[in-house]
Amino acid sequence: MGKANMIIKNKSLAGFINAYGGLISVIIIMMIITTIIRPSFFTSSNIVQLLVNNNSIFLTGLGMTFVILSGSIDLSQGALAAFATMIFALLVRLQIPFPIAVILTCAAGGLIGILNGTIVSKANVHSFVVTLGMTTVLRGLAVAVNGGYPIPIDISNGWVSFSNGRVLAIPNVLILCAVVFIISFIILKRTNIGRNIYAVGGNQEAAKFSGIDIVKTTVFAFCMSGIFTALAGSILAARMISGLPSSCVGLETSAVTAVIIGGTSFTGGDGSVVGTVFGCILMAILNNAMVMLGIPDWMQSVMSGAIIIISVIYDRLRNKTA
Amino acid sequence: MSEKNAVRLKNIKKGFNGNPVLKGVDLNLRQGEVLALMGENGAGKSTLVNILMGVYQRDEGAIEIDGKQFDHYDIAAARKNGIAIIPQELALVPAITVAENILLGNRIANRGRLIQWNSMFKKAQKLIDDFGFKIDARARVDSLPISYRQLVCIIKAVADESKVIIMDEPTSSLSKEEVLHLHNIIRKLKAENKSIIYISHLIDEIFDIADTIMVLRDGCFIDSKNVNDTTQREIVSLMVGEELMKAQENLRHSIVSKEADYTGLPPRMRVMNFKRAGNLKEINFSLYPGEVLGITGLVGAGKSELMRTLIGIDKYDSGTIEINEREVKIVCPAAAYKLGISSVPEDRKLQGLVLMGSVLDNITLTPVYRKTVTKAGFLNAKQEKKDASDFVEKLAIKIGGLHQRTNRLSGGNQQKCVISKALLAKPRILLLDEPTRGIDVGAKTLIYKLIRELKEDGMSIILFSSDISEIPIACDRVLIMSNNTFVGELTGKEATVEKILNCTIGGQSWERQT
Repeated sequence: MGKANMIIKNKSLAGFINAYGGLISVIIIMMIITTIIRPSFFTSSNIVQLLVNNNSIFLTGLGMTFVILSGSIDLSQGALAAFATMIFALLVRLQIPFPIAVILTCAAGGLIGILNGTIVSKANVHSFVVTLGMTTVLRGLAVAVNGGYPIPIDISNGWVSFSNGRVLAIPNVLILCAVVFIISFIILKRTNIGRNIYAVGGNQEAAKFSGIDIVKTTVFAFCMSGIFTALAGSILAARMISGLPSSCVGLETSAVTAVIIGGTSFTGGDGSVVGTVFGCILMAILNNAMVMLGIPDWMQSVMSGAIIIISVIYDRLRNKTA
Repeated sequence: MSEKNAVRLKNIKKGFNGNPVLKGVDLNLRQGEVLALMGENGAGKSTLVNILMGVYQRDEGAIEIDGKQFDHYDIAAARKNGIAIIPQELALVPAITVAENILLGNRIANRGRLIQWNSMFKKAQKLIDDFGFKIDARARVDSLPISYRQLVCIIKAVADESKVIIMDEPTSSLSKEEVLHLHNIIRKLKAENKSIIYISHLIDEIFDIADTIMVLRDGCFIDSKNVNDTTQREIVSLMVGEELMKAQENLRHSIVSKEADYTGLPPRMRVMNFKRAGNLKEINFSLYPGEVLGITGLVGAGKSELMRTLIGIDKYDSGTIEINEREVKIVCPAAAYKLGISSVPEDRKLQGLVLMGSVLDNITLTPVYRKTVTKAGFLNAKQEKKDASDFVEKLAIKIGGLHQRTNRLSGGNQQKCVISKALLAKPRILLLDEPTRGIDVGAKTLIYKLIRELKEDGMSIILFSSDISEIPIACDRVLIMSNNTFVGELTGKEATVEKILNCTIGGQSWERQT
């Protein structure tokens, strides 16, 4: 209280450090500790690989940022991603060229998102319930696509080589992630619909009184989440060389964690995709470090859960002081 | 009244975001004294009592209760030392009974630690009956109307054996009989040597019940008067300040001296045979170019509801709205904005502002405005900043910078942000719902001046207000509303506070609200 600099945000470096300094220091400290114990951690190949391996969290996290900023939550991401691997694999099996298959898969994801958003905003049902229901529906549909069996993808498929390929030593997947990030950043910062998302999440009443279309804004946020999730599903399908109906369990939890760690307010209206990037990097490094340090599986799960709770408490405390 | 001090506050200073709200205020409250705390909205009354309640931490100054100094002072310390505030609806748990609420801190249990409901209901009912209220101790709090919840708060404060009870606008939702009743209770509490801090806008009420009147203005202690040594006039002048009083008198003078005549002109907005959904009363009125129309009435008369319907938040069953003699349908606020109707809603925090958003984000919030600065889908950030800065300067909004969040701005500055937002949409019709509620006199006067300026530029304005004292200062014409329909109309110099008062019906006096 009373500290003006805590509330006044600006675009300067000081503002950036104020917002993300803590997060970046945690990332650096974690890297240093892990490197000391396991020097093989800090090699460019390991760092790049751990980022590539976590592309699903990154893409769904960006989508989740849209939804959480608008004041909702999308729990159907994991199921949707699994469903998307099946759709993509099915389309490829039907001899559809891979660019069109990717686009169609993303479109399907977008449609599911639109459905989620419409129910949430039109029927005024809490997104938690709507997307939880959608999770079960999508898991069912994912099984229905091929009677519960995976659909194999031909290893010679162009999308498989793209997803494992590199341009100038940079993995294509990372380039794709960067493009999605830039698009998200621009939409949220510089377009009407993006700014409306902040307004709706910050104060839905005020947004409505100002003439902002709540339904359109919410539907858009869920649509972005659906598209990005389906894209993550397509990439995953290529990396697994198959569509797998049981994949991506708990992906939405990781996405929420990354968003919250990245400083986006859980109640909406405040935060940015930049934070989500750092949140994802932290999660990726943490996961990798725990594997390299030989920490058992169950402990990794406990730690991830603890991190969510701690970041939400931190979020509450920060909102109190601001 | 004893000579012993119950509470002493010395040189209390408090600021939010570097905006000082209290600039060194002293307060002495003796045992058995009723101290009326007066001041316009934004004078710092609520901040001061919130510091005494331990809700806010003081920046500077000393707090002394029963002669004991406190370094660290918070809500727990306030409670422990017998300080209570009413109404504080949050202090009640909605989903449990009145009895349990009243005895929340001291439930009656037997040896086996099982709650003795019968004794609890009996004890609570006795407390309620002692006060002479007709409330069932077994009723759930959320089943009671708001005014009854306030009464429950009072009983709870007494049951908690508080020594100092702060009453913040305790009569705002009580009927006349209930107010008299409350005053009897206050006298009773006084006789028991309890001290009361009484906050109210209603000066008659203050002179009826208070021993001492303390006046705050803009965060400063102005004067403290024994109620027998002062007059209502003197108190008002202390509260408002001579200069602003004169400014307001000048505005009034200009309205009276230059009465506008709209006969024969086409109305900018005409509302005919208009019925809100679920409401049987018809509403008809016209608004002319360059006219400031006041719509006033009691809380609950249907003013805010009318505005909500006019901008499409609520639905209407029948009737027509014409803008410039063309019939229009207004189904949502977006449609209203597109027709050139901007609005400033009743509750700036809930409906006006995105509190966690910056000043810039809030001022540029409306899509209608943003479209004008969008090129190829991208917002022109520079233009937005420039437009927002222009308004910050024009309305003298006190901020740390365009990127400051709006949640810690003072009420007046928040309201100026909401008004800037409405004006940036370049409206021809501006609807203001209680625009001056809870803001300081300076900001109020600035808003009145702004309304008159906008009118000179040809804008049509409707001012929905339950504060009748501002109608004669700001409006060319006033419609008086009661029970969802218009019951009177006064123009220009006819529109005085007294005449507006006389226009009301329904048995309730006007002073009962605001």
